[in-house]
Amino acid sequence: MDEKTKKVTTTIIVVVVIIAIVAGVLGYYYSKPSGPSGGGTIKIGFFAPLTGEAAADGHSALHGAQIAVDYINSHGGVLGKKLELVYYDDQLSPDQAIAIAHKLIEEDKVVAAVSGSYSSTTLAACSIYNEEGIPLVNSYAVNPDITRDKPYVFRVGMMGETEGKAAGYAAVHYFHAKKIAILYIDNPFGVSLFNNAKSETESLGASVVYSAKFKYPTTDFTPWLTEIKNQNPDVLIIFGYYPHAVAVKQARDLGITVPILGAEGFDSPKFMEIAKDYANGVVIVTDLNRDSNNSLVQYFLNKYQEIAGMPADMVGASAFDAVLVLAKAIEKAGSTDPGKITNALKSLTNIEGATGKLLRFTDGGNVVKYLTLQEVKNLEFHFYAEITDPEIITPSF
Amino acid sequence: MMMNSAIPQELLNGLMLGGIYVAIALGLTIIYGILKILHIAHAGVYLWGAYLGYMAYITTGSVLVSLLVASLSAAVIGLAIERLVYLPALNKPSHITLIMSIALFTFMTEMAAKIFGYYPKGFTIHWPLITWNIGGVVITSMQVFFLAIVYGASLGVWLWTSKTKVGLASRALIQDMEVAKSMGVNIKRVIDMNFLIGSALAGLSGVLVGMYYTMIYPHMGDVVAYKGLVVPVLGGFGSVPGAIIGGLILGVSESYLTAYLGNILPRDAFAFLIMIIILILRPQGLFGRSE
Amino acid sequence: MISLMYLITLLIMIGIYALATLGLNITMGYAGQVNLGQAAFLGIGAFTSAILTTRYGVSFWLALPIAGVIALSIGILIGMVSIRLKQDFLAITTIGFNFIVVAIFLYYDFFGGSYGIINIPRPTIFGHIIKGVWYMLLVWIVLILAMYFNYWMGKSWLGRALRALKEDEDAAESMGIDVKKYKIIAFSLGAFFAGLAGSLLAHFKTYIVWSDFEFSVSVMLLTMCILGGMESIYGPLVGASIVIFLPEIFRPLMDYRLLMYAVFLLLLLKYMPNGIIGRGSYLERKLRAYYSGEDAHEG
Repeated sequence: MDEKTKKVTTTIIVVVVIIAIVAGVLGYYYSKPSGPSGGGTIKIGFFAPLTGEAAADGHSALHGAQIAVDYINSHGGVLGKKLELVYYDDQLSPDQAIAIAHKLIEEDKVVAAVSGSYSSTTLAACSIYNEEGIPLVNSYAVNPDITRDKPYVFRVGMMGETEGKAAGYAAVHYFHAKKIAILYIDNPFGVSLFNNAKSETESLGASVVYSAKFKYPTTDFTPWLTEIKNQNPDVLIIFGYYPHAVAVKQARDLGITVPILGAEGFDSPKFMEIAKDYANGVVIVTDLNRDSNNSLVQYFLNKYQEIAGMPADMVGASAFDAVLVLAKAIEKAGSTDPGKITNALKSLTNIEGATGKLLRFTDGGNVVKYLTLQEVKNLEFHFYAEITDPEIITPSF
Repeated sequence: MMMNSAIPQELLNGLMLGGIYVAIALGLTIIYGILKILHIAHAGVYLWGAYLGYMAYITTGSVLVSLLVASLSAAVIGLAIERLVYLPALNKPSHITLIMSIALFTFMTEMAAKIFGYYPKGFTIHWPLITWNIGGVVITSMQVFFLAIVYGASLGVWLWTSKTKVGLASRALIQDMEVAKSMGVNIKRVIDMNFLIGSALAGLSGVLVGMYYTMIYPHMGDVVAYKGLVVPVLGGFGSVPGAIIGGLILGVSESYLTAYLGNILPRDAFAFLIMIIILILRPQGLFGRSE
Repeated sequence: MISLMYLITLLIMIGIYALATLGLNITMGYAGQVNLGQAAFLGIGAFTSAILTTRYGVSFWLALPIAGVIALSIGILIGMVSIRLKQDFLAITTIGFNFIVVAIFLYYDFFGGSYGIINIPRPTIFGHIIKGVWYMLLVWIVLILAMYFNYWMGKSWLGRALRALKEDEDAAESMGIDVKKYKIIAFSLGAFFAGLAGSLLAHFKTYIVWSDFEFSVSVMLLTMCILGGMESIYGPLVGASIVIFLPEIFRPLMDYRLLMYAVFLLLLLKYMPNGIIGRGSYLERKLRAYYSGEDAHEG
């Protein structure tokens, strides 16, 4: 490339970049309402992966949160004011989550925040909220360290220990299993579920005859399933996400006919879309009861279907509840002072949410609530059983 | 003993996996042999073949049309990449074209996500599923279908390179482009044909993978994009039999490794470790020429 | 008003990634050795520092240099592996290296496995915790020292030897330059700075996990390196600033981020392979001419 072309190219690019930066900065200044809540609205921060691989769940969570905000605002708001959701896309990057935390706290001056994101991002950001004394309610990220030793961080979803224990319990109690095979995803979610399912089944007198972990993009489970078939278990537990529904199909194709148990990762209409008829009969441990009599649950389910164009899942329901409990706490505290909101959260009891009855929060900030087993019938989730045993549903901290 | 039928079952799993590797590697190895470009975006072609084949199936309900659309559209996309991105960049240092290919692959993945959505799509073809049990090994009709087409097409490509005029010319090009030119070979045409055929094979394997695993998703190319390179390294860049044998070796050994040693070494690390060892000890691979 | 803390957070990240890119620049920009696995060295430094401080009670001030040294030693290993490999094959080796290292972080509980490592302590000095603007200062001091080293290197025999490597390996060999030795040096230096950056990253985020060092991060570092301009002291800083700062401004376009990123990279490689301020680029030549009073013509 000759001298002149280089010169021209460089000039153009530099000019474009400068214009872009100036435009961006100006746009940034003019679009952001500055100053804390005090004006007309009460601001709640929210972050989730809205782009990238995890965008599906991020949008699900955002829907849930927005439905909650609309619901609350149409019922008089909080302390006479409207709730405002200030949300950002964390791109499933821990670095981004950190930057967003500072943004929400210092620029948008939110009184509280909700995480609609996964464990990696939430874990990276939670210390910041905790250090700054801004209450953070975690929707569905399962890593225990998110709430551990952090008085300002709460969780409305289940931790792996609870869900894992429930799965182990269900396998032995409802499926009378003595020998269990477990396939679990190789990440915080799966590892925790596995460890707890294993210890629960063993404490109930059964044993795990085969286990293997797999990475997220796995679509070929046949090597493990072949081995599992040889081990002849009474129940197959699969701790994964809905893309791993293929595992169910492959298991059945290989001739594995025993009951298959899953967890909240399978709690999505996508699970049925991918597994098709193979999904029928699969039972999952989750907290969203589609057959619930509660009017709020049904309201949420209908509203979500209307807005998102597809049935709701546990992720959306958890985000809904996260916003809901914050609203209740602010109302109870009678103030938007973050410290008072936090104390109010600690003292909440028996809140009816989309994910059932939230009994209370433990000292560690983790929710105590009933779990539900849902079975796939005719490609829909339906009530199978409820798990209320305090020993199982009460988190260890 | 309980293990007996597991070993041949793993072999079947390995053949399935190997089929994918072979199909992808064939295009990669030929393209590298001729243009000396590491065509990471080949995985993007694979991905788009899967999506377009899926769309064809949804619209027509015909598996045959789906396979044809996947192959043809992938071929066109591959050709477009060759003409628009690689040819103009031939004079650039090779690591630049490699990075361009990586950026292109990212672009193709994101476009698929934007256009078709981030959610995986269920891809079920309505064929009756028959399973056979041969000596303890379970094999399904879908597997037979998959293996037949993938290996059939791959062998077809092998025959093409050894029997047809253009195929043989490709080999000449891989050997030495200058000599081939002087012998009157129409370089442009040969390069085009190779991209068309290699890409068609990639697209075909993409849609087959979608059918077999009953789903397609925007990041399905990630699995093969970089691991796919291991096969030409193993088999020798530019060698077609090398790609076939290398793909088989990788598929089968990964299958056995995952089943029996899964707790010691991660699957992906295994493939790349093999790649590095080969690069150190025998960079030309099993069938390649020494530099 | 842009909040100060938010800006400081960005500046800390820019400093850290610029440091890792500076290392990459030495390996690729000066010595011409393709390295698509720089994120692995970043991760090695980060995990080394995190493990030393959380599990063995080592002080940050010791962990930081050790992280650099450990990364450097792995760099020596890669350097040795790279001796007979050139260009493409070197590139895919580094890609494979990245995947292997990340797989090891994920698989073995020693590195926290899928949980990663939490509660990484912030550095303290005379009892005071270093965070916020003070941490930023710390990061930038390290970066500036590295840039100074880079400046010295550029002018020294070391720089000349590395450049000779980039120019033509065979010619360099015939001129008596020990190509093997300098390849190893190129990788070790690059790894060393990435290792330091990794430690600084770990103690800033206080939580690291395997996915922080995936191959896509190597691509990002590469982008910063090429964008800023190779074989230049300021290039990495320019590249890092743009890549980190721009998404913050363009939040509305977040949805198309990766798409734009890819297109941007493609255009960059095609039309501006010397980056903004790299050696050979228009700006760099103009600046050089300005400072030395010569006419600017093709270097």
